[in-house]
Parts: sequence; structure tokens; C-alpha cells
Amino acid sequence: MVKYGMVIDLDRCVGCQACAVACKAENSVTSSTPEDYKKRRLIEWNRVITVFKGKYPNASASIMPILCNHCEKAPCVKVCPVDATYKREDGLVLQRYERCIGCKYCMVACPYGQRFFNFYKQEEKDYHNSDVPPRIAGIVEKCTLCVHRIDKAKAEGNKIGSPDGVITACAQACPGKARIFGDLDDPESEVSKLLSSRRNYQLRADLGTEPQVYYMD
Amino acid sequence: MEYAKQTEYVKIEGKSIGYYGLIAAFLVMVAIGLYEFISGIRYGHETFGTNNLVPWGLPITAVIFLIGASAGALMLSSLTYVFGKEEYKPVSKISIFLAILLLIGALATILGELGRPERFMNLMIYGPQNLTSMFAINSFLYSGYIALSLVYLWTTFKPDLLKVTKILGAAAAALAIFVHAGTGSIFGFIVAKELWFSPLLPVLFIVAALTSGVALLILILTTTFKLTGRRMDEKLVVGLGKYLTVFLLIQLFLVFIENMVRTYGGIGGGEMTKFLFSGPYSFVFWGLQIFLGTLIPIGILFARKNMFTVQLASLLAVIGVFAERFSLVIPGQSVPAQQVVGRTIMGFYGEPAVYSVSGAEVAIVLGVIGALGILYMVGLRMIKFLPSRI
Repeated sequence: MVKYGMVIDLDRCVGCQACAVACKAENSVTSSTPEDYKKRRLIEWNRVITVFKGKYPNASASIMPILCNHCEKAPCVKVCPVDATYKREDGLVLQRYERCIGCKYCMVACPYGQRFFNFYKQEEKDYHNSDVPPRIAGIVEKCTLCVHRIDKAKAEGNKIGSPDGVITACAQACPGKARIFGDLDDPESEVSKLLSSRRNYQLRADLGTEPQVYYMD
Repeated sequence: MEYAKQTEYVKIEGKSIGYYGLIAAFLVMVAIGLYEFISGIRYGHETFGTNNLVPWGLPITAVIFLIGASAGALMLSSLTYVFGKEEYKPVSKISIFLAILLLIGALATILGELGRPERFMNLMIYGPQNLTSMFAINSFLYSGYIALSLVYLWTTFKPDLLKVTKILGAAAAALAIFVHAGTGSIFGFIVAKELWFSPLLPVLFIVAALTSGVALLILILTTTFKLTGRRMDEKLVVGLGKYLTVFLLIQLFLVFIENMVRTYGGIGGGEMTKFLFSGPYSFVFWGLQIFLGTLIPIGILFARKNMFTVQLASLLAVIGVFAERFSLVIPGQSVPAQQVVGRTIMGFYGEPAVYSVSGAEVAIVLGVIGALGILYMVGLRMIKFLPSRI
């Protein structure tokens, strides 16, 4: 079985937000205004947060790029009343946009806040990526782990996964090579080797969602 | 003779200026609501107050309130038709009618809140494929509930079907419990939200349903009786007031227990609980829900029970239950969850989102209430719901 996932090496992350920008461009994610920022209506499939612990002088902080965790037991898949969100066989949590009714149940169910609602009428732009299906207003969208790239590589028989195969846009854009993408079930892949060599953790593993994005620090 | 004791039902005339005036007022509300609904379909939910952190706003609060009131009203009708308490007979038929209307109103509000309301049939088509979703289960529970209640209401008009009415009444009341427990489970199953993830929530929902059901019934019925020139039996109202007292006390107890557990600590670090108790919505919780909506009505009802005090307590209890729903839905979503256990998110992404109610959402909720008002008044005119005793 194939199970695509990602390992993020926080030692290598400099917090440059290149992944966030690359993701927006690759997936034709709609742009936002300062007004949306104030209203908390940003659509960011990829974003960089800072988490900290303790008080000065005994504080520690780390910069973390976060994206959809493509959970093994995804709460958003569980709650979707129209079966629009589904877990694909290769481990991706994807959404059928044409079926979504916009009930936003998945948004409240996701512990990671990785689902975004289209509040505004979506316009087709020339520079939009033609491989990515357009989304309309009133539905929810999310990170696909660049499924269009994976599917294309599968169809053409190309290698998938870091370091020399087809990878996601965020992993490709990362200057520090902090994001490593690949097949978690393949013991020979770079992600598996990294996971077995160093201590790692998942976000909110206590909630039992079993994310497929791992962090190392 | 046995028949002399039976309550006779009549239609209302419905030709006065007041009747048409009220209908016109309700129509205006429906028109504004429809306008906002249609512009929501055309341009997206840009006028709503919701955002990506608080995707559920006032309409969802109204939905669970309406479903609760509906379930409560239906359970109350079983007092007459299942438990044989004849003194509540004058109001039982109309409470079934109200239960059906309120649930239809709840469904209409959901429709007004969906991002793509024209695709709602997907719930019926694709719902069975994913029965782990409480929404999918509920869409079948709700439609079954409406169908069963309609048959139940129909049998109450047939005196020779008394036994069938009893069975259907018990079945409908049982289904009402499931309907509202299901509504509570929408929230109770969500592990991501500290304030929601609780097995007590469905139970609390049922008790709140009874509270709001009785209180709303008292308010609507006394108003209807007054406007149609009927005399409301004070004994009946006081009797319902006794039920209201019990429900309010149980509700207070459950809210207390739930918040004790939250304060004691659990998954999520207690940020959301702190937000509920001392955040920008804490006045809804402490002021409206606990003080105005629970403690004061309990005090009033213990001090004296008559027509006026029970009505006043009912009004406060309705406000209290609505506030309870609000302080569950909105503060429950406002705080971003921790991403790494024990570590706080710094800056913008860690700040709670403050949701402010927008005009569009209020218009949609009021539009639904207007439509319910029209249906209620037309129903009173077309079908014999009200007792003839003046």
C-alpha cells in the first residue's frame, strides 16, 4: 500500500513563508485583502505559525509550517454528511467540490483549522493553474497534498517522493529542504528513513486523529 | 356523560384587521430574509459575521434552539395523549402543530445557512454513504420525525383512533428525544472543541429542549388565547409552570456539573473554558444564561405561581435557553485549538476570533420566524386547533 505523507524538519525551517506562497500559486488559492485578515477569513492551505512555552527568560519557541495533516482517522471525513470529503486509498484526504453543500461541519470538526470556506464569489484568472479544479463560493476547500502532481506522475510513470521524484509545491519551494514528501509505507523512501532515524511527533496526537504529517525538532 | 367533558375544537375567524396586519408584518420579515438568502447564494456569505475560525454563527444557534423547542413541545403533548392528563388537553393538539412548525423552521434555517443550499438534496442522495456523520443521521431523523408527527396530529382528530394516538404519541415523544439527542451529538462528538466534546451534552440538550419547549408553548399559547379572545385556564398555566420549574432546576444542575468538569481540566489546556468564563461573551454566559435565564425564573416560580409570574418566567427561560445555545456554539469555536500540546500559538493565529452578529444572519433567522408566524396563523384558520371554550 502507498501512504503519502510529509516530514517537516523544524531544524531546517527558517520561517520564510515560501511554502505558503508557493501553495497559493500552485493551487490557485484565492487572494485575500487586509479586510479579510481582520475578519479572519484568510484562505491559507499552508501557513507558518510560532508556538511557544514558558515566560522570559525561560521561554522556548519554534516556527512551524502547518498544513492539512491528511489524518488516518480524519474527523472531517467522519462528519461530512454528503461524503464529499473522503480518504483516498493512497492516504490523501480529498474533497469532491461539486458535492459539497457548505454545511461547514468539517471546519468545526478539524482540530487543526485546516479547512477554509469560500466566502466570496470566486473569479477565474488567467494565471490560475489549469491542473487544479476551480472552487466556487459557498463551499469548503483544503490542502490536497498537490494531488494533481501525484496523479500526473502516476499516469506518466514517474517517480514520486523526495529527494528525486515528483514532490508537492511547498516541498519544492522550501529553500532549507525542511519539507520531505514521500511514501510512509515504503521503508526505502526518504521519509521512512528519516522517521526511523530521528525522534518525531505529530500535531495533537492526543486527539486520536493519527496525522500523516510528522515533525522533527 | 363522557362526551360533555370532551374539549371541542374550532377554527378561528381570521378576518380582523389585526389578523391581516400581523400577516403583513410577518410577510415583510419573510421578504427581507429571502432577499438576504438569495444574495447569499449569488455573492457568497460575504455579509455574514462568520469567518474561518467561527464558521457557525447565529443561524446554527437558532437551529438548535428551534429543534429543542420543537422536541420539547412534542414531548409535552404526550402528557395528554400518552399519560392521560386530561387537564392539558386544550393545548395538546396545538403543541403538536407547533412542534411540526418549529422543526420545519429549523430545517429552513439550516437551508439559509448552507453555503450551497441548492445542493441540499445531496443529503438524501449521498447521506447514506457516510452514516458516521451526525448531520446525515439527523437529516433522516428529522424527516422521520416530521412525518410521524403529522400522522400523530392527524389521529388526534379521529376520536375512534384513541389507542393509535396513544401509541403514536409515545413513539413520537421517543423519537423527539432521539432527535434532540442527535442534535446534541452534532456538538458532543467533536473532539476538536473543548467546550463541545462531552457525553453530557445530548442530555443537557434534551433538558434544555423541555425547558424551552414548555416556556415557548406558554408564551405562544397565552398570546394566541388573548388575541383570539379566549380565556386561558390559570390552573393549566400554573401546572405547566410547575413542569418549567423542574426542568429549570435539572438544567441548572447539569450546567453546573458540566462546568465543574471543564474547570477541573481535561483535553485542550482549558483555554476555551477560560474564554467562556471571562472572554468577551462571558456576559452571555453569566448574565443571560445563568442569572437572567435560570436563577431569576427559578426564584420567580418558587415565590409565586400565577398567570403573570409564569409568563414572565417563561420569557426569561426562553432567553436563558437561547443564551445557553449561543454560549455553547460561539465561544466553543472562537479559540484556536493548541497545535502542540502544552504550547501556545503566538500572535495572530493564536488570538480568539470575535464573532459579531451580522444583519444578514439576523434577517435570515427573522425571515424564518416570520414564515412560521404566517404558517401558524393560517393553520389556526384552516384547521380546528383551538378549544372552543371561551
